[in-house]
Amino acid sequence: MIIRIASHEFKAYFKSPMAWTILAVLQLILGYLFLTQIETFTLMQDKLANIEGAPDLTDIIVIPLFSNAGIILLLVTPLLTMRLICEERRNKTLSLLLSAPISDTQIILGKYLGTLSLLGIIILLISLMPLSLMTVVEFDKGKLLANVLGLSLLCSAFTAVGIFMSTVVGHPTVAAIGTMGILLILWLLNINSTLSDNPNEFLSYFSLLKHFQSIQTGLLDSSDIIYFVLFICSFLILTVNSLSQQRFQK
Amino acid sequence: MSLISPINQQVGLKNKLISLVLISGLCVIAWLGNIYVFQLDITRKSSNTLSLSSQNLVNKLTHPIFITAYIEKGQSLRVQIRQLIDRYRQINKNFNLTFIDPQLHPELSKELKLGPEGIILVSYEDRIEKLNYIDEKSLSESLGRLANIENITLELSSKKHSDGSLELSETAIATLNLIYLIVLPLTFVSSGIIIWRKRKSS
Repeated sequence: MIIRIASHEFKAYFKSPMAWTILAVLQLILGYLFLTQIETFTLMQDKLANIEGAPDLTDIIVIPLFSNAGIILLLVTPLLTMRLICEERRNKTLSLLLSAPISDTQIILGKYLGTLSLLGIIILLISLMPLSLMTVVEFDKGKLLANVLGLSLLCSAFTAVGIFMSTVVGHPTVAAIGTMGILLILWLLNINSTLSDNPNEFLSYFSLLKHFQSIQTGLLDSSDIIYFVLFICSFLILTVNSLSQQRFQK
Repeated sequence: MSLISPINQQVGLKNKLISLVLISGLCVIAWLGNIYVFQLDITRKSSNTLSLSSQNLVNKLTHPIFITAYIEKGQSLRVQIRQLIDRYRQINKNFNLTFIDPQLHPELSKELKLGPEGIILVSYEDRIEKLNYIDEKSLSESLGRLANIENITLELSSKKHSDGSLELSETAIATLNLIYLIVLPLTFVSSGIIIWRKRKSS
């Protein structure tokens, strides 16, 4: 049943121009940034070759591309998630969905996986950019894999917050703005580590950016993976709980 | 009068309790996950892992090592230095890192003749060494000198180097521009327009 809901959600995105527009705009922005990074590297490579320990092709092209994608997806994901539950409620179809013989967990997981599938396509398109250079130059595949994993976990976390806000808030626009607000706060918690002489370790732990950057280096740390898994689980539990509350208030 | 029946109230309370227990469990896992850490370096040349010679050297340091970085606030270099020292700290807990913003201490800046790129002081026992640039090689060599460990051979020079030159012909650059800036975005936009028109007509 989860797969059916996910497939329905996924198809629904492509039945409206929204997903296509997002794909087009993302492709244009990230394609431009990718080509700019290539140009930067080709201009710098002669100088870099003579410096010991200088950043390599993967550091100059792949990592900035995925970092930029992370920031752009922080702004885009709320637009994809804002309608998940809100729209059902506004169209009065939520009661129908809740009266169907499916659990709240199945509804939430189905909708969550449907959105993740679309984000999976976006991540695949981003990964194809550096992969298209593979015929010309060899770069660190491990680091590329780490970046793909980091961005996938980051998008999963964004979606979990988005679906939660869509469940608790009555209007899609408010849900999108609320999601963006929460994500920006969680993103910027790490700013403390560069601005302060003695950063607050507790606050830094909650920063999405800190864990994402840590995975991007290619060093897979169990604490970073656990952070993302727990983050996603916490928001999904809260979402299921919130939907259950609404079921009993009907 | 409450419109919510007592049974629904009980179920609601039960759901809240289950969520509370689950989230508490997740907090415990997060805490344990920070204590028992497992790391896997998947980079091609293990560039995030200290070399064997650095590990041997760090294991020989029995006294506290103080690293003071005079780098302005907000610079990404601070994060990189912290990540580097964390790698040393995983092997030897005696590493202590402090950041000082030179702009807040102008007298120190004059005394140490600090430039915009900052400086890093490494101190071991009563000896201090000044580094203009810090990476694994420079830090390990400095620690070797400060601790008077003579016969260390650092096999670091070939550890990280450029992945090779990127020679793209003008045709290749034009093809990439065409694919990423024109063909793919236009395909997505036209698909969106077709879907929108179909919906409008139906």
